[in-house]
Amino acid sequence: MAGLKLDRATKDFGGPPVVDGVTLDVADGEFIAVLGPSGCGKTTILRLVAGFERLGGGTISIGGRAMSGPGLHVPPEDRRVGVVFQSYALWPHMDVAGNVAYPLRVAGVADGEMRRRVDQALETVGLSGLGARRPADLSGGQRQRVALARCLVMEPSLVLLDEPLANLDTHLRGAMQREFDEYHRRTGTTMLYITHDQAEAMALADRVAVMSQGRLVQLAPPSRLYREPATRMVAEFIGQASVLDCDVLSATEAGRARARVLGIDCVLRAAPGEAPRRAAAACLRPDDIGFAPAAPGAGHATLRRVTYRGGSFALEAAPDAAPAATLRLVAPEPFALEPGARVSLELRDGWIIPGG
Amino acid sequence: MGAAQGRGREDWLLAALVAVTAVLAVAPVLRLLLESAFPSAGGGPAVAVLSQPATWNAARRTLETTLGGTLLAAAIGCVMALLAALTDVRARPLLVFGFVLPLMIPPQVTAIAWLQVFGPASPLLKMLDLAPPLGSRNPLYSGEGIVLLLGVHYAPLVFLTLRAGLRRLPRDFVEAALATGASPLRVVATIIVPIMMPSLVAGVMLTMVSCVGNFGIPALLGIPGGYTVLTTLIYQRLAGLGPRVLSDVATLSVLIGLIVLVGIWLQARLLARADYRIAGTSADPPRFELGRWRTAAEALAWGLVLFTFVLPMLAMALTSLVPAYGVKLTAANATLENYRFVIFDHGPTQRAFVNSFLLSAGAALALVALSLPLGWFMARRGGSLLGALAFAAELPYALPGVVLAIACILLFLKPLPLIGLGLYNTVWIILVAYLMRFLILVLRPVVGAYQQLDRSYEEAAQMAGARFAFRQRTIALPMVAPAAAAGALIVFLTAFNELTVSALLWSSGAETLGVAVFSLEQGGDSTYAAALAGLSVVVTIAIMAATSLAGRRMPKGVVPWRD
Ligand SMILES: Nc1ncnc2c1ncn2[C@@H]1O[C@H](COP(=O)(O)OP(=O)(O)OP(=O)(O)O)[C@@H](O)[C@H]1O
Ligand SMILES: [Mg+2]
Repeated sequence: MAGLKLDRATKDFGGPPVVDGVTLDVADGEFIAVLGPSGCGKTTILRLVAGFERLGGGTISIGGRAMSGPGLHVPPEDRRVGVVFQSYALWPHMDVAGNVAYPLRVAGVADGEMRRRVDQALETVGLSGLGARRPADLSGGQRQRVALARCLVMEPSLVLLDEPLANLDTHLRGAMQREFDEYHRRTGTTMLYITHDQAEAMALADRVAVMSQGRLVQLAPPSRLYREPATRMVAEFIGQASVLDCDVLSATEAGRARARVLGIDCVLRAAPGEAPRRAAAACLRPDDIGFAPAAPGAGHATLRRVTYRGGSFALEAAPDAAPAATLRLVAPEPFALEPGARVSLELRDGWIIPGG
Repeated sequence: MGAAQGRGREDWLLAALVAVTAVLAVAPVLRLLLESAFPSAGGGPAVAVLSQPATWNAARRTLETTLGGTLLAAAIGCVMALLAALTDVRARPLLVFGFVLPLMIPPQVTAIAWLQVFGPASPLLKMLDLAPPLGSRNPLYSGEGIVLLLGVHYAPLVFLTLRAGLRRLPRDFVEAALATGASPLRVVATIIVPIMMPSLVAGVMLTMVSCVGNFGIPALLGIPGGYTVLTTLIYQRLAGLGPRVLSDVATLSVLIGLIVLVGIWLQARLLARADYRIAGTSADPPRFELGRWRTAAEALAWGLVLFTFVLPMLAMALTSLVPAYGVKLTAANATLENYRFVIFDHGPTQRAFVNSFLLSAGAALALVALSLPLGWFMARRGGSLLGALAFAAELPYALPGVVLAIACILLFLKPLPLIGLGLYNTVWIILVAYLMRFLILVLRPVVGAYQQLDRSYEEAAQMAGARFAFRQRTIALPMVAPAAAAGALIVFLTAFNELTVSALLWSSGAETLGVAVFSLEQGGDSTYAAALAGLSVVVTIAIMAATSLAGRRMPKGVVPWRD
């Protein structure tokens, strides 16, 4: 078993840094999801950990052993890190059993033992009896399982997965997510799971790492990430949020501080050490904002869009106090208001973004 | 530690590959330039050669035949490409195969075949009682004859380039135009012609370059007719006067080389523009339904195949069956005697068959062995050195064979320094020349295959713990093998029938098939020449057909005569 440590890991491809001083400490057996917009450097991090790319600065160690650092680069073939590729990378000139057996062949495992372990790995992923098939004759989900089996058969202590479910349909995704989850529970393998599906990240991970432009912005358990985003970017990236300008009026007491948002006084959750300041930002989830219909000319905001979501409506409203901002609200069915209607607001909860 | 060593071994391998490739690709060009700047063997300075009237006469004739041949090739090639790429004529794959065939027939065989179509001994004309009286001159022994044959021989080149361009033409372009209410003819004039212009010009440039460097056709048609072009001038000078005119012919070679390089440069620029303009758009090319014109179009298409391929091949086949040259062929006197003679009785042709087979197979195998690792480094490591090398490897193939042959003579006339091994006047100089000339034919498809091969296949093997050599053997090589095989096959086919290079490099005992055919025809043994050429055509077509059948497993675009 092995933890993973990145210390100020940096990488560029001759331009601005693509991975910029990322420090990450993954405990042994932990399941970490890496989440972030396209091009933020997720795949690059994975390739650095696997050893496919050379580190520009900083260090990476796996299971306490230094792997990449100044003047050091252990090649991928010596790292014993399992990788599940987004494209699966199943070799078309070998059958399924040949693909799965490859790592054992490399390790010089004897034939009988090899067959036993291949069968076992195929059984684990529910593909018993398909060993003689060619990868081309498998469905997308089955290919994904073969890729997983090929990785499992090595019994790696660290498994890296790059958007492993991106090419599958929604239904299959759910099933495969459950399988990853089960595998992780059973073996206690450390997993680094890259995705840009936040629901997937939240469902699977012990902690989620959010990246933006090469930097690690926040590393936290899913509910913390949702309730206490560290920056404006995280707040907007995770779930539905209204990020609004606010003035902090008091220091934090018992986890809360008084604040004024849209000209309304309220009490919001706040990080310890928050002090009165102007031009701060608050993250309000749809559930945090109560609203009621108001007469024309009265109330705090005007409805802009009403979108049916199946069982509920997602609303966007423009507050009078900050017409350029967008309020995101949720209303249960049935709902009768039309765009243009006036509403009055009640701010019940929210989070003062520490850096914002 | 282990890692550092592994990387070190990789670097040694790369260094060795770069050294071999540099010798093959760069040395001949450098040596030639050196010779024309500082002549070593006798002969006057470069200016003296360039001021001789014979030189300018030959240069003028080269340009004349090139222009004429190219125009004819462009006309035939355009019609072929439009028919095959844009219309719904039936049996298209067969038609494409038929269109491309003349290109796979070596030029000297084309020449021999066409000589049998016209001329006093033509079996076809004799059967129709149209043959001119014996003793009269074959009308092909002239500039016009050369133009006709160059045009027919290179029409497939225009066809292939143009068709490649047309196939990239997205269907939506045409459908968008049709949707505005334009008639098909108008669409051709306003959409298709402008878009295919760059491909056409590129194909034309390629044809011009090939015409300038062609040797087989002007040699067999021009030398008897006293019509000398630059390539045959070099050949005649060298064959007549020997190595002491080496500096002179080197200068002539540089002259041809320069003409050709300008053409290639223009072509590359035009093709780059063509690619740029319609890059990234969807696949399927448009097809016009011809309706009641379809039969006429098919008749035209097959008529072209008949004219460019069937007619000359038929004439040659008939000549090979004639008991004695000039005799009228009948069912009663047809004989296989000529075949028996060239296969069993004639020493030089037997040797030539063996030599050409060993040379072309050897070159193909050696080039595969070189290209597989080299191609991997070019595709995976890149870098300016490897990029420059990839470009340099194009040169010996792009330059006319005569030019390369002169460079080889210059390189190997004296025994190699250090090891004292003399290649000149042995069969080995031909092998080395083939390695130089045909390297790119294997390297290009192999590099392409590696580039198309997703890196993750090799990375997955790395993840599994496989080291460089094992990874190469189990993952990378099997996956690019089809491309390498296709390249090797093309090398084999081309080298097996090659004449231009070996015409200047052969020595007694080291004849090639091309030289044997050429010598027989030049010596007036047209019936034997026809039989031998016929055999080589049968071998070529058999291999092509086998490749087409096996070709389904090859990557797209590797086998030129396949969709
Ligand atoms: N080999 C490379 N050479 C140059 N730039 C690269 C290379 N690999 C990645 N990049 C750049 O680095 C940045 C981060 O790429 P990366 O693939 O890590 O993003 P990502 O977060 O995985 O994105 P996605 O979600 O789209 O997969 C991108 O701007 C990309 O263009
Ligand atoms: Mg990625």
